[in-house]
Amino acid sequence: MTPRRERPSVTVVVLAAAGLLFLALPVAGLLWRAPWSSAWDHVTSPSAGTALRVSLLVSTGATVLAAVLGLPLAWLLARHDFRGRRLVRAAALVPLVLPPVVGGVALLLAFGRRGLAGRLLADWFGVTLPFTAAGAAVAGAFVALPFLVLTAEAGFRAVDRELEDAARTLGAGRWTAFRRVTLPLAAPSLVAGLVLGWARALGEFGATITFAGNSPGRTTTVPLEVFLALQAGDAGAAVTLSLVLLVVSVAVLVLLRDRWLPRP
Amino acid sequence: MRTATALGFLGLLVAAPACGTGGEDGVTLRVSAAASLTDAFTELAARFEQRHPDVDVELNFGPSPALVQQVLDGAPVDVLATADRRTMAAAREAGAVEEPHVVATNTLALAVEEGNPHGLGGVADLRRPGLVVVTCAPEVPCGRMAAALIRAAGGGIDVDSQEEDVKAVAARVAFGEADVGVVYATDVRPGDGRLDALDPGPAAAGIEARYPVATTTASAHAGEAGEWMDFLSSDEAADVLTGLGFGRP
Repeated sequence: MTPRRERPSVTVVVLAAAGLLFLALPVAGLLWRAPWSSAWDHVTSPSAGTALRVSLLVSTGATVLAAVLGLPLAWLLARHDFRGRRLVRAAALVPLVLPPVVGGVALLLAFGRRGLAGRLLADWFGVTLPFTAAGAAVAGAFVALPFLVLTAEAGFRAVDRELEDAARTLGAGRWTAFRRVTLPLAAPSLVAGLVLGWARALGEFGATITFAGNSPGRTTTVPLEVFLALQAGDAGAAVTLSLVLLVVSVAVLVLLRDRWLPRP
Repeated sequence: MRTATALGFLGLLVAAPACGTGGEDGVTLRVSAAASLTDAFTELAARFEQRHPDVDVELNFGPSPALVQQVLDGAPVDVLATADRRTMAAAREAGAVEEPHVVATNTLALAVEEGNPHGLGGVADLRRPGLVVVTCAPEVPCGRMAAALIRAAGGGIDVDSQEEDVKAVAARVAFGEADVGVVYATDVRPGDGRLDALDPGPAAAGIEARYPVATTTASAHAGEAGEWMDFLSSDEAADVLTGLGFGRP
């Protein structure tokens, strides 16, 4: 689309500048108030190190879980027309609009010790999810799932069926055709979905603290550590850890710069 | 017609701010207090307002360190009440509060589900494998006290979650997600319906919370804040506090 030759109105420019400022000021605030002299000490302190390790472990686990649960769902939505398809897609997007703390409460009601499925997990397998790293991963998977389903569905839909059909006529089975033709072609979208989901799980707070609680070394992720540092009045540690998350988020943005939204 | 509507709006605009300040020349006294003082201060505020009809007490409860940080950040708080002297000392050092006075004390208790289904007897039983134990986070006063209790009992207790304040700990047990929580004796009232309180045992001897209360130096209502402080030292307030399970300093 060629750019318009007419310049934008002043009003629009002013309002857009206000919008940009609204987004930029908080980030600038973080950079300005960062205790640069003690930042290294904060980042390398045992509690920060543990929180970073837990965050990495939990986010990666959450992404894997979301992929396992979300990819088959995305495939069904992309390739098959069935009754209630719109409802299923809406259900997959619920975590996107649900307030995270509400998500945490809902997870407790489903997978907590007294929960619908939780009590079965406890009685049959002796497994409890709250207060464990696995529980934190479940909370992360819950919020990351919509990202995976959305991008994967778009990715699968964009693959040219004729190429898959060609593979099938040449003797490839369903799985081989998927593995050798569909997957490589949908890969960019899938990778974008995985990275987005991972970043979302990394930043999750409300659902994690409600469902998985706060257990240093097990469920205390970086966002929880920031919250506790604030509660304790340690603004320096809070700001430093926030900066770490900011750097990671910017890195994700740069990584996905042309693949941000799936093209319809 | 349109003039009348406009005047009506203007009248509302003028009257609206007055509605939030306890009456015509009313004063809003903002009190920030530790979470464990919720029931006590709510009751005391109601009684204070009865005695001082022109004062509207606005209460703000939360973890003590966070409340101090709010005051240091410039929040318009008139009175600050924390759950330990250390947190109050931080505010005092920063010059944010006047001389504090301790108005009550509190001891620790173990909160369990009603009926004590696991048959726990004291803090030593918290070592039982598979038991889900929650305490406050060590950054807040009740967390420091819980850690002291565990140390005094010989350690070796696996804490499953460290909550941001004592009400959250009680909620975990009440919700059924935890088996036992280390709370204050005042957090479980007899007839609570969902929780029972257990005496932690001899290890808890000497572990006591002291609640200092002070007026802020930046307060715009020093007179009313002073009246609130006087009220807290009165016999009526002492009766309310001891009735809820607090100790006298």
